[in-house]
Amino acid sequence: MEFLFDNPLANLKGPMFLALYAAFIFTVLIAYPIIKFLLDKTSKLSLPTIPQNPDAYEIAYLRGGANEVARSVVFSLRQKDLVKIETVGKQYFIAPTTANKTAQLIAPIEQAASDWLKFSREPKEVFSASGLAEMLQPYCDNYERNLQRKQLLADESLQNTTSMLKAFAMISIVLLGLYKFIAALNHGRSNVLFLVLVGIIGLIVVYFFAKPTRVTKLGKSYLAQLETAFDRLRTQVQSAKPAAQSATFAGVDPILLSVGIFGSSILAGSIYNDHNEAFQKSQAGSWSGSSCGSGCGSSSCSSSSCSSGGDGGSSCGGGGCGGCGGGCS
Amino acid sequence: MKVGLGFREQLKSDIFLHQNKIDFLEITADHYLDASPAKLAELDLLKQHFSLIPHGLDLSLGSAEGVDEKYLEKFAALVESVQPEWFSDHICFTKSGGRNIGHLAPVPYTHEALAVFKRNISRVKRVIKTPLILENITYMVQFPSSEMTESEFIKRLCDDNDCGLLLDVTNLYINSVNFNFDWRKRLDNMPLERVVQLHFVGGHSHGNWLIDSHAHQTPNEIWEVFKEVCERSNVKGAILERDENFPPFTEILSELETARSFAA
Repeated sequence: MEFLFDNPLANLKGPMFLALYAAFIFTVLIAYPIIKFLLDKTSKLSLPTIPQNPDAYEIAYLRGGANEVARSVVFSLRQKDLVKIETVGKQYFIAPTTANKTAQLIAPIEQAASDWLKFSREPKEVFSASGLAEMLQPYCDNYERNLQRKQLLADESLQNTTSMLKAFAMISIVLLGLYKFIAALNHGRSNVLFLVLVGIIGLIVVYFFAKPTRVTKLGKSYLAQLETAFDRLRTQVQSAKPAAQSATFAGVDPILLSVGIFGSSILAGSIYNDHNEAFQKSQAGSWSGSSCGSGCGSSSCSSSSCSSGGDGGSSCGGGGCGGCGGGCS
Repeated sequence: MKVGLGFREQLKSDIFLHQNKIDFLEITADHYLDASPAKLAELDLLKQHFSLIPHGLDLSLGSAEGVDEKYLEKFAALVESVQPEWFSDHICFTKSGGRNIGHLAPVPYTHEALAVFKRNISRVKRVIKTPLILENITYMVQFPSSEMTESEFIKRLCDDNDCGLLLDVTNLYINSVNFNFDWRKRLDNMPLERVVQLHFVGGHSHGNWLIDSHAHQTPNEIWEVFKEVCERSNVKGAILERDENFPPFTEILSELETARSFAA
């Protein structure tokens, strides 16, 4: 029992132990993605081909989870003139229009979103509890299953393993710090402030930077493939005309598809710029909320601000924010 | 007959959204010889989704100084990577005295030129085992020193080297207008049994000249040539070779459909 608090580690002087502790936390941060990488065996699988009619919402889900789906659906309604973006002072609102939605062919997911948008809403409500993103969860569950089946998203086993690994990493940081804390008190020392600080900072850093696997290596390659195949849509978006005048190709709206692939930041500078700005503002005002994605390029991307589970939440994981500069990958 | 499109980056997104309407793609080989990682990723993507035919611009098979070995090596690597049914280049020279002309220059239709082609093509064939097909070009001059007609030259060229023909019906038509000959009669002397692939697209007129600008819809006159060639030979594939002034993709698809209807 004496050895427990009388050994080289327990007796290590404060600054030396702090350096060792910091090195341990650093090693955890480096080792975690490496182990995650090794656990993901999907890179050997053959990449799925790009379908004839790619589903923009499923791609949005792969890239960024439920929040990105919600953002894309709102954009689609905006494009179909079923909702509009209004500004009151500096505040943006998504408001229903008087357009007759029965006259338009809209997908069930769009119908559901349209029902939710019967009243004027603030963009941040889309991501709030019982907001649109949550309401679209049944659709997102389908995307999750499809994408897991294609091994583009991590299956539950891989998600659980990497989550447990993260928990183990955090517990080991706590335990090592706690051990030294008790050993210090046992030796009659009370100058443990830096030890506590390093421990807390380490935990915060690991919590935010060590993300359980959500998008697999295959999923990331697939997203990269989509970005390569459709990178020309970026310029098409800039010259986009109102929906009624824009062509829909092979049942796929190219602008909606580009939002699905690259995120709504791609709309910046286009005739749909207000959509991008509305959601960027909503993020700026709700850092700890749940929104991310379109504003990845605007530094508003924290892990906590991303949606459902996974690789940095969602919209910031995987393919690295699609087209928004990878600023939050 | 397969109907496809010359791959151009500007059309990439639309091409992927209409995969089922495009039987194959022709890629400009030169764009992938010293390619950036992004272009190589693009090539991988294209390979995964389409059958590809590399179309060269710079083998310069008509150059008396021979084939550029480094270029040939890179071209061979591309063909190896793409595994096409055939590959193509032009009946012309683009290099002279170690300099790149930057243009598909016509050769005089002489026995000497045939010998040059034979030497160069045999070198290419030793390195690349995939069948090579040769494309007729447009020209702005005719050489007084020519010893035979263009069609005789092409026939000799294809026969002597056992090569297929990539008949650019637009080029044939443009030359017929610019040099006032009957394209039908010219076709009579062409080795139609060797035609493997066609190119078609519209050009534009500049004064009294027709220019092969690859920038306009295929006009009826060229569809007439296309149709006649399809009737008289066993064409395996036709490529719309649109390079500029891109119309809405629906127009391009409609041209492919027209080509398909003539081939049926």
